[in-house]
Amino acid sequence: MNVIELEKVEKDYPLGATTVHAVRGVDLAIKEGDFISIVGPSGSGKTTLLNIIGCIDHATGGAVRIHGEDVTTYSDKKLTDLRLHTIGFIFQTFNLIPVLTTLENVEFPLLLMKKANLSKKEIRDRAVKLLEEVGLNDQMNQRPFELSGGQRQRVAIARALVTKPAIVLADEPTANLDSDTGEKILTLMKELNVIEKTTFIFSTHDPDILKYANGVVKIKDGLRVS
Amino acid sequence: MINTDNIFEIIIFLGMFGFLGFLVVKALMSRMAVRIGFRNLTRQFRRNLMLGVCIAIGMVVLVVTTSFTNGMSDILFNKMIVYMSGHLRVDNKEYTSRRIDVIRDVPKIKQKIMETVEGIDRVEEEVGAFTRSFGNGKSGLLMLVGLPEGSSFYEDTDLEEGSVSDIFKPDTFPGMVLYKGAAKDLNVKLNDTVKLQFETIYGQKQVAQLKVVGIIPSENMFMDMAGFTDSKVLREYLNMRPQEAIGLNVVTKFPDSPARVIASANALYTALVPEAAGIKGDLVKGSTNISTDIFAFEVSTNKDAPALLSEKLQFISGRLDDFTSTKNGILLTEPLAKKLKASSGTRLSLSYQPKFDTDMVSSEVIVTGIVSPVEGFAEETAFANEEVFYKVFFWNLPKEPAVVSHDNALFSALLPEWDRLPRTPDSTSSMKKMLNLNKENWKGTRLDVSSMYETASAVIDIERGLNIVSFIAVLILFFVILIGVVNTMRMSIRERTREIGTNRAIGMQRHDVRTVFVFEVVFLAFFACVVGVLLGFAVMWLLSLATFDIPGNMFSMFLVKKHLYFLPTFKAVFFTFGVIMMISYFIAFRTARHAANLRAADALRHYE
Repeated sequence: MNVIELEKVEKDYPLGATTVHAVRGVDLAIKEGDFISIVGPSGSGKTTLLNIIGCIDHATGGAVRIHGEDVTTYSDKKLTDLRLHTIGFIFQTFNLIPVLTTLENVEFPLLLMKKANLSKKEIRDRAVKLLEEVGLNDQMNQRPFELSGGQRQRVAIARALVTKPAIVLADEPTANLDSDTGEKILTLMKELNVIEKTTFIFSTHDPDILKYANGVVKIKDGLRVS
Repeated sequence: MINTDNIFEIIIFLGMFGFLGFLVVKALMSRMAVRIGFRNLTRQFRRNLMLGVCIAIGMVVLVVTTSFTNGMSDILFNKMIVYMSGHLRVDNKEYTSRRIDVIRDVPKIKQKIMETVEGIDRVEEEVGAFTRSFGNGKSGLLMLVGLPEGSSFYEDTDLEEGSVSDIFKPDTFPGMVLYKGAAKDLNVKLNDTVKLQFETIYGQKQVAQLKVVGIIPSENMFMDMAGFTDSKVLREYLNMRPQEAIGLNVVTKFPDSPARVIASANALYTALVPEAAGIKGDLVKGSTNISTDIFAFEVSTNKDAPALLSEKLQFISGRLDDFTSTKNGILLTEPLAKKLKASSGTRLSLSYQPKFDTDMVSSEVIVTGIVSPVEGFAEETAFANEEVFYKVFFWNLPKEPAVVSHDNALFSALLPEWDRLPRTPDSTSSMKKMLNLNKENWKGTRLDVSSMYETASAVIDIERGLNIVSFIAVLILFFVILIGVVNTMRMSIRERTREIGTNRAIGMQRHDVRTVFVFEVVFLAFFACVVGVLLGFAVMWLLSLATFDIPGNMFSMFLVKKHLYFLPTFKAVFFTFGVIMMISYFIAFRTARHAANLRAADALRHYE
């Protein structure tokens, strides 16, 4: 079953008097449990495509279906709820909340899930379990600035997975890490993909990490080339 | 009766409590957002500290200025105006044979006051005189005030030397207590005597010698001119009887509410509608003594009265002109004349029992006409020339007054027990009213009802002026706080745009983003306000330590014992606190909308 379906998706940006066509009629279908890489040079539209898949940006044309439902007509509130419950995000620059500890950063999405009525204990247990899985047992009460780049990205992965999302989107997750750490992070993501059956889509322009993916989508000038 | 001032105040305070309650509930419902907001205070620490200091200084200024203006109002309303004129005042101008300022029937007016005025604290009978006083080689002007034994003034006043009770002890000279400033001006000490020259209410020169039995510490410059003695003693010196007073000063429990004080003055004015001056007395001719109602016609002071009388009275004998031209003339109805066997030119004795004396009052009158019984009056009624009443009625009010309906066709020609001077809105028109009264040719009595907003409007204007200055300062401070909050928030939002994008991407709703920023400001404002209130109290304490020795300076009236006087109230502090919190909240809410409305993708793309 396709978790994500993109049909002739377009994204145009106005830039002064002209219009930039960032994504031009991309079709894409991603199945549950896929570990997909979106590759392409800088400015090719990878991040825009990820943003559209992640429902944090609107397509200006075409259809985006998540679990078979067209989300292009969703309100902001509904899209936010969808992101909270269905999609996890891992950013290139980690984007952790600096005033929260490692544990609190991971708990944060669960605390936003007010309708789930999770108890404090449940929230704490889930966050602790995930941090243990990503190997941060000893850094739970540290603030992000006290962690290394790899540790921060592990926290970001734990945060992305804590809501048990169907899809995790990672925008160049290893770009700010050294190659060893990058490999460790990708290995971790792959393990979680296998264990949790979570669909992973990550963008990269590093050909060395494509070996982890079971599918590659190549983008150039906003067009899908393979 | 429900008071609109109170309702307004209650609405404001319920609103404030509601708002603070709303903040608490909101904080409990969005704990994570609130936690982030609180911890964000530690980021850009220096900037937040500067804004906090700015708000705290604003709070200090507000607490100090509101406490100072409250103090000023307290001095004005509860320490000065109370002793000058009360919050409401009734006084009476009487002109019968000479001009006298005296209320002749204090119990009657007092009863009207008690029935009409809301929230009375006390009603004080004014017994006082401006005196030329002579001490030891020095003289000066002294306002001598008579207060009865048990007056709250004595209880509320701490003496520096001597004892209040000595005022009421029999001694060679009656006792008086003086303010320290007055004692210094007259160069007198405890147990010295002071000679005082003044006029009685009838304008006769009077000299008295009083012994200083107590010294009161002066609180402000007005008090330096005053001395107090037993009102009984002063009444005797002033030739005033126990039922008389120069004026009645009403002290209310709501002096700082102009609307209530003025409304009470207006209500009292309406309640003091006069009856016709009437006596249930006797007319005596030889051994014939007939009890009857006796009224008086305003034949010389009311230009409309002669025409009305000419139309309504049916003369059986005598003429209206004879009646109007005879100062002790009296008209009898025919049945009364028959009983008295009186005709025009008969001399009669008019006598009655006075209200405040045991001796009968009597006066000789001449019958100047016989008239048919008049509709609305008893068959046997006598109508005197108003001059008869000027001699007897006002000086000795009757124990039993004769009454006639206000609807009677002749009511407007009857001499009333008093006339009311029109109400005036301020001291200028009040003074103009009194000047006009002095110019007019009038006789009788003129009752005046005034509020402190007329009698003391000049002093109140100073207070209002200072209030306006402090209000402008408050507005400027609010404006500064407003700019500070907006600026700080805009900078924070700009610096944290990517963070906002991340939170929105993760699944934070717009209102939660707003809550983070709003609570950041709310916490900052709350802590700054708490610090500001504490500092404000410290500043007031320090300022009140300073001594200002500025005798003669107008502003010395706002000093108490040469120190600045602050009167902080929970109401004022809470209100200021609430206003700052509200301003901070609404500005933060408005500015945070910008952050909340950022699209996640745009925010994530943002680079400084």
